[in-house]
Amino acid sequence: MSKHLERKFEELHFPYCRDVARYERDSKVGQGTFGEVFKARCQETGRLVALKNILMDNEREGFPITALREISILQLLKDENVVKLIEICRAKSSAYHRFKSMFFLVFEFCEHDLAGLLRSSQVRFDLVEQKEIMRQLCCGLFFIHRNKILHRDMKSSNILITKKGVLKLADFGLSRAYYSATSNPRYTNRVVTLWYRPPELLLGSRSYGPPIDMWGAGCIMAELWKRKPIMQGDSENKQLMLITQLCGSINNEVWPNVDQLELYKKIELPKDSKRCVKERLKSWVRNASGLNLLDRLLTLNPAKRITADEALDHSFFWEDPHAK
Amino acid sequence: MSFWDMLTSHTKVAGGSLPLEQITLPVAASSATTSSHSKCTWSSEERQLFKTASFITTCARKLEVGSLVKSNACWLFYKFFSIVQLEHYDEYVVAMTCLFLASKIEETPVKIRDVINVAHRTLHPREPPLQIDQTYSSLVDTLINFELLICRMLNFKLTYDYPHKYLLHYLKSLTEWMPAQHETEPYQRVAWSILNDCFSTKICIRNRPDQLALAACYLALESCDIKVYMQEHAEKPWWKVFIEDIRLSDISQLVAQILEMYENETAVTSFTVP
Repeated sequence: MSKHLERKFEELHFPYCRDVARYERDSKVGQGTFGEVFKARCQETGRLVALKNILMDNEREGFPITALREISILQLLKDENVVKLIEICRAKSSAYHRFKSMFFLVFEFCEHDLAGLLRSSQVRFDLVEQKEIMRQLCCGLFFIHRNKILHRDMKSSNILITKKGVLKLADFGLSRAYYSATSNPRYTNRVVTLWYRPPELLLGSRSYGPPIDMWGAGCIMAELWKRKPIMQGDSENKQLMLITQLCGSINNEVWPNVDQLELYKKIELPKDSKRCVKERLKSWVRNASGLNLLDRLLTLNPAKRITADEALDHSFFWEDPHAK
Repeated sequence: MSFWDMLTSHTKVAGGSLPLEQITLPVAASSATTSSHSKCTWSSEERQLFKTASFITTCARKLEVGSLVKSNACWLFYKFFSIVQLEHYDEYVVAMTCLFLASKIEETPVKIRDVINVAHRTLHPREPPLQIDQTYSSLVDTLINFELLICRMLNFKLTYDYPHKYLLHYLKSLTEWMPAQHETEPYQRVAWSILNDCFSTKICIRNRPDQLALAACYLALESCDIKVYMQEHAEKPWWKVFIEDIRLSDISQLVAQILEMYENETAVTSFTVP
């Protein structure tokens, strides 16, 4: 590239999209497949934010559709329990980055994530706090599902908690809009972190809906007591095996038409496993209605799995001790 | 199908006269309808934008992406040219990029290769198809860069409150209210066509989406000479049921804009997409 052109690029001015330099970077707070997340401070207002880089490497089809989804979904979802997108910024193009465009999503800053809190031995949760977390989680899911959005990446590290105790669903990088059950959609089933992935996805379903997020909520709920992910498979087969051992055998009896799913006949699974969700978890969750809610969240058949709306009406949230 | 096609097909079905005469118009617009058809009130820039929006419509139809993608593409296109000057950019490159971007926004992504080929074929129908060479790959790069430019210029506000969902709601409510004999009338399709046609001009970015949808509905009912059932006994006019704060003057002002668009379209249809 000629020096003249380089200078021209560096001087390019975009009046409508602000420069990320208005935020002063502090430290890296996250690293994943999606890129890096930085803690930063707005130079004018002093407000703390999280900056998430939009990865655009090797994009042959232009601006990634996943990033477009994340942006339009976050612009749509304005709720107490969903992480707030403040704006989108660009970085000045420079020779250092070979004049590639860079974009950052600017989020409100949340001090904690649930996975981190559960790992720390200094943090203890009592029943009221556990209820409060589950209640806010269900509120967030109820809100996004009502807006016809699937999160598709429920896991404890994507649940953020502010220092005031407000829970926020975060990382909508895999989320998408879904349509009503009448149409016959074909979504990708390569979503959701393995340990939190529901049986219908593991069996290859491509026309799924909100219940996939509720399964994740169930895994997270159990994690609140056990302090670690409850089913840590290292392959999709192993994960299904762990699910079967906990939730019982998968068959047409508990889940009508499950044999129609693509992978059902291709995978060998134990046929006579008994469901033992309550038995296995009762030494951890010493609360009858809590166990009941957990049992209903970890229901194999997605059509029978409890919805966010129903979960909020569950007696767990309406009996003493009450959530805050 | 354009609005006028719809009207003619309706005339055949119902056997009535051209229903447009029954529409009450503000003075400026009614004088426009009676004046000679060859007059066009658009500036050369508006004409250029209209042509390019029609180009988007043509490409969208060839790519089979549906009217929501088309509308979103036109909306992006008019938004973009409402903040920059037409002569600074190649409007066809902007149009292609808007279509490409809109297809992703609306969850029916089209391959960049298909957009380029379809646009090339539409613009140069007599030339051989594009080869995969330097020209082609620089077209890809241009589209990708333009996509980012549009995102930045619109500050990533790439979707908006579509009038389509309002219209769907209005038509559904009306159909349930109207006596069954009207079910065979094409007013619903006419309303959809009117609304879709609105995305060929600035009308789509200038007006409130709910009001635009209501105006399309109003014009369709008038065109098909359908009275809303029991209207004469009602406490408030039917449109107030849908939008509390709308006045008849708002509707007729919108209807005038739409009719002006059709008048101008007729005046410039001598052109074909190059």
